[in-house]
Amino acid sequence: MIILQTDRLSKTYASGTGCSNISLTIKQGQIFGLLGPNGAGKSTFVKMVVGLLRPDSGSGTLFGKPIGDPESRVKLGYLPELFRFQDWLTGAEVLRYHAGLCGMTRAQTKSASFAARIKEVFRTCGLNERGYDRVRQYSKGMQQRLGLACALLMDPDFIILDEPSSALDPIGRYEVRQLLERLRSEGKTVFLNTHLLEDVEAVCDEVAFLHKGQLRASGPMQEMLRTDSSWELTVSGWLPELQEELSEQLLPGMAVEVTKKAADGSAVLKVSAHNREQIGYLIRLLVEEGVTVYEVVPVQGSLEAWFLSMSGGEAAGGARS
Amino acid sequence: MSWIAFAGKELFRKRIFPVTFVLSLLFVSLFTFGVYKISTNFEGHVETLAGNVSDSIVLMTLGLLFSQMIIAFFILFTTMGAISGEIENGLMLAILSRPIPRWKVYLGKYAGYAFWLVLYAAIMYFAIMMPVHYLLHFPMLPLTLLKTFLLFIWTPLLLLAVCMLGSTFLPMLGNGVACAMLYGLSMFSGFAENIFNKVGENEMVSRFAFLLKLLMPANSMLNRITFELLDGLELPLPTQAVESMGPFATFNVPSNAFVGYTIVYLIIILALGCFGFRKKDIA
Repeated sequence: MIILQTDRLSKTYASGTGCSNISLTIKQGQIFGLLGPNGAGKSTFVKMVVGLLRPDSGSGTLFGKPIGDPESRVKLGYLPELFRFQDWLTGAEVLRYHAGLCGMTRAQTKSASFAARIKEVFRTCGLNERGYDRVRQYSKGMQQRLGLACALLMDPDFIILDEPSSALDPIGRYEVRQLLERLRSEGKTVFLNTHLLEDVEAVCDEVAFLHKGQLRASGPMQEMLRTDSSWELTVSGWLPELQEELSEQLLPGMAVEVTKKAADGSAVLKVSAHNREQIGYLIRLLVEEGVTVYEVVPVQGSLEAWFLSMSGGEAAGGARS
Repeated sequence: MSWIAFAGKELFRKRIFPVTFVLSLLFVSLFTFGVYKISTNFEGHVETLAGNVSDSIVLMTLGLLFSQMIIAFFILFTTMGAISGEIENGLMLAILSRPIPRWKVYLGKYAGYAFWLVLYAAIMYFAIMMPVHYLLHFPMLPLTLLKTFLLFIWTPLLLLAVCMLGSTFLPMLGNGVACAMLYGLSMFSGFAENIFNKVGENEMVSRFAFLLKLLMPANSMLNRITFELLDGLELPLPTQAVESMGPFATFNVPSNAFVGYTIVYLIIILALGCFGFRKKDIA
């Protein structure tokens, strides 16, 4: 089942920044990570989805209803970035207020069953008894936890979290990751908007990369990180002079670099090649030179390397996020 | 009900209401003391009834004027950031992503503030009228009291709608300044018109004042209140007594049609606010 689908969604601010032609599809049960440097247009995209911004062009549906339609947000939980809650209320009052915005009557929000629900989300988000204090007395991290509690309050099927770990300490971040895993196991769909790569690497099934308002890539995480151009060979019987001999026989585009070398002749070679056939050719050369090849492993790209390669190693240049 | 409770919590916990009540109590105490002193001055002196009533009218008008101004400041400072302020500080992000149409949020906020405002205005109104009635023996008919009370609370409701409309389009401080100036201009133009009319009608001033009345009918409503309080009482006033009240004279009393216009005005202002808020990008 498709939860969110956007078709060439665009929003340009007067400054010329924003995002353009973003087409994404989010399926049920997955954790989707939207990546990009600061100012890439990630939050602009999210705000269009949740109805805070009106798109200049393009369209989208949330639970089959047009984005912007309040009905589309019935099963949505949203944690905004740079939000604030009414600091004159207690955490529990904030949740009751939001329940009212979701259509619950005052009597329903005051009921014992809803009080139990509030307690449950406070426990889930690590607020516990502090949830009944005034928001004014909260630290930034606690406000972030209250934001999470607010997003989860109505037991939504689709949860959009905009930089959920930004104000949290390492323990808080770990707890958020655990929470995301739990939500996935419950069949919830999560849209994670972040530039914290460890969060994405740990939990996301699919990722998309936004840079300067443009969608640069989108797909399953493993597919995004896979690289066909680099392999690691563990060998023995390696002699220093072999590198020069091999380099004369290598095919165009191939390169061999020794990354580890031991006195007993064992070594780890990092090989760049266009395809697997070239790796087969290299193995034959090595065997002919008396080298034993123990292991050939394609090198998996790191998310950080992928992030840097996608952004060309540069930030978005002050674009509004 | 939720909106009223929510607005009440905001007004009390931000200490807006407690502070306002204390200062209002000070104002009402001073006013009552003034009325009491005047009433005791009348005793034992040979005064005409007309002079007594004339002084009562001036005092009462001043009391109503200043209490309206206090209420106006209360509205301006409380609601100048009702929309833009909450957008600027990020409060609206979580609210407007809920499955609720924006017009409901807008009207809910209006209703919440309006409830407490009417309550406050009612207290102020009776706190001014009762000393005038009981100490200066100013006659008050129940129907007149009801009509003038409704007119008294009507102006704050109009100003609240204007302030919220401004807050939809202007930043918080800019809106506060704009609404305060609009209210001030409305009051000043009404006073200026009364002063000019005393020495003969000035067409340009009248036209300017009329345009401002259309933009912000605050002064007109005050004129109508004064008129309603005097009308039908058959007070033994000299012919020129009311006209000699200077800026508080009741020349150009707004007609029933104008009062009807203010109802349409409120509906249009609220509709414009809802429309503007619906179209607004929450960046």
